Amino acid sequence: VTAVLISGLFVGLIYGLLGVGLVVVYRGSRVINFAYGASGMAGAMAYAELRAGVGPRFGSFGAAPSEDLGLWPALPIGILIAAALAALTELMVVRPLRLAPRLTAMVGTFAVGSLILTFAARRWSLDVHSVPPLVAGDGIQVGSLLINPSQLLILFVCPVLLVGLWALYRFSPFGIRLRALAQDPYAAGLVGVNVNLTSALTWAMAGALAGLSTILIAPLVGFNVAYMTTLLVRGLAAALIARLTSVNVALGAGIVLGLAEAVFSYKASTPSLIDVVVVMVVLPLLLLRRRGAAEMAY
Amino acid sequence: MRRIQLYGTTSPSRRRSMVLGAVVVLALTAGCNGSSEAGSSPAKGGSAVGVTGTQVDIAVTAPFSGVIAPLAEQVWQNAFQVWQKEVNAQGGINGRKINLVKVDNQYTPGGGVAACKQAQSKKAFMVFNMLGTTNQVDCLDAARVPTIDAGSSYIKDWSYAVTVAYPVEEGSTLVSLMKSQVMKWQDKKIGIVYSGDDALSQASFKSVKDAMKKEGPSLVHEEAINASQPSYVPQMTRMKSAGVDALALLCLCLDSKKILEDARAIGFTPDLYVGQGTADQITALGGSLFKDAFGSRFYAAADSPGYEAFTKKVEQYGGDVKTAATNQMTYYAVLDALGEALRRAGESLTREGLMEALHSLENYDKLNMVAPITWNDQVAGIKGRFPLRCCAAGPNPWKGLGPAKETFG
Repeated sequence: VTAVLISGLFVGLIYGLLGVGLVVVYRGSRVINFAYGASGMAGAMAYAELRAGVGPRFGSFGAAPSEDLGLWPALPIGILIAAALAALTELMVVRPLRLAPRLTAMVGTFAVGSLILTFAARRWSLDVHSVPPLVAGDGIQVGSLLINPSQLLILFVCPVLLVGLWALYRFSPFGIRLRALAQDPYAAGLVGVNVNLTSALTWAMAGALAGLSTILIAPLVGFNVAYMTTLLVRGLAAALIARLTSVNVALGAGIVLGLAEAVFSYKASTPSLIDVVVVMVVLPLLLLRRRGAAEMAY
Repeated sequence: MRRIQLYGTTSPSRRRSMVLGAVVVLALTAGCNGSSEAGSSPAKGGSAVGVTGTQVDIAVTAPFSGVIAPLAEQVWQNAFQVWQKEVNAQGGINGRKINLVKVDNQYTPGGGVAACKQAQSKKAFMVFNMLGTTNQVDCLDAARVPTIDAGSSYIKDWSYAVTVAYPVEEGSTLVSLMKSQVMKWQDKKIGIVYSGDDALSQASFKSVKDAMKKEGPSLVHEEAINASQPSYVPQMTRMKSAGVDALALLCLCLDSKKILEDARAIGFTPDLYVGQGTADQITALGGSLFKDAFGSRFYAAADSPGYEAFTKKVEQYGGDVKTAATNQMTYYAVLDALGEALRRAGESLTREGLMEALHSLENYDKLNMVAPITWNDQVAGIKGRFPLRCCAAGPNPWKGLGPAKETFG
């Protein structure tokens, strides 16, 4: 049982990370970005392509992988691609719909996510790929469970990320502009905040976070173009439990979800039931959130 | 993941047989306008639909657009075009050249009906369905267009279609392999993992479970999993607690690598058998996790003479050797069987004559690329499995264990 719980903790950290990213976007734009996972996935796939030659044919057809270009060109490029996709989503979908109901923009992000997924499937196929982890090593033994280096890295990154976001929001001028924008973009504009630029930067920042998160997660899951779909539902649940406002609560909620899922899977032996439970949590929260968002309309 | 199989059942007597459509589907549609043309007259002079004195037109239906299109194109290039060029280079069949025509079915029901109509409007003699929906085959069958179906979802009592189906993980076959001197699992405590959301996997599990009840070895634990679970530690923990020392993965298990990683993380390292998830590319990713695993599948391994012959043909007839793969070989082998049927149908080629010739094939096994093909009943298709062992070097890791008959006893 200890192994199950520890495993659940690390899965929960993954959910929490994704939840944090969704909260960051929402705080800056009042939009739930359903393309969050897809843009992150595209960054992770690009990272994998640069590291291991995951290309249109590798995997499916046994073509030899190309040369590993190394961590440093691959990691920033992967993150930048995810950031650019998120920024483009803001520029081309969310911004033109700023005056429309929030739901419209959310549906728009759904479409963007589908578009990215389709492109990714054509480029990288639907196969499961191998991706080199960011850190190598044998891991450490905790009880009966071997914790691998990729899990340990997530354990390290999460608190760093939380402190960083807290400092950004609390102390930096950009963070203050972000908060102003989230409160009232019209008023923020009147007092000199460049609304468009700040909004685009928020989305890019969240996109970068998506890219980093998915690259961190990739070695831990069956890594294909669809792997973020299931995970994002859990991340969304964590974000909604945090009412899309608190990154700390989102991370905590993700951890609780991961633990609950692990225990549930261990006891119930019917893994699909957990999906029902998650949906039953997410749907009412989503409806409540929508109502709340409408009340806070710009 | 890529799902590479489709399946289905019909009558109780066929319950154990389910259709496996491979990842990519090719359909050859020939023949045209419904029942009135179906019985067209003998055709050496070219009076049958899609048949002239010098050529036979065959439509190949598949998702040539959309997400799966790159896969379909690969099979088209390395199996279908290679077969066409080879046959034509040898003077055709009964003096007629083969003309394959691509028809996109988009892998949707609507696209399937459109492809059915398009194949008829193109006046194809027959159709080879690489991958598509069942209603496409229904439509072609209703129009009396002979169809080889390698990729719809069900076996039905079609009159003008035969299926590239193979039995699901036949319990008796696997049990005999487990008890053989190759695997030596007779006294092992067996655990089985199958996909709770996959009909073929469930059917395989039921078949194996029933056979193990009768013949042993003992099944001590079973786990249904979902695709893309973020963790398999709970399932593997239960397996370990149950005392399992030999694990059979009866699922496509695209994330079998993750399953085995999680098993190893809790110190659970049982002997391993892989059923449906034996595609080379899947286990190639797992590397040492699959070391010494046993497997079985309906097509030969990359180290087989059959595959060597296939790659030579790919190279000789303009395919792409770099992208050649064992699963593409299955289409080539089925096309070879089609060639034999066309020969048997004779110079006066008719649709009825072709169907009769297809149904006359029994244990057709000229190339040893797939298990013997039989189309003398609807369930039919590819019968038998090749025993395998992991892992040879390179991207095609499964090593063949020789002819199935000798290994399974």
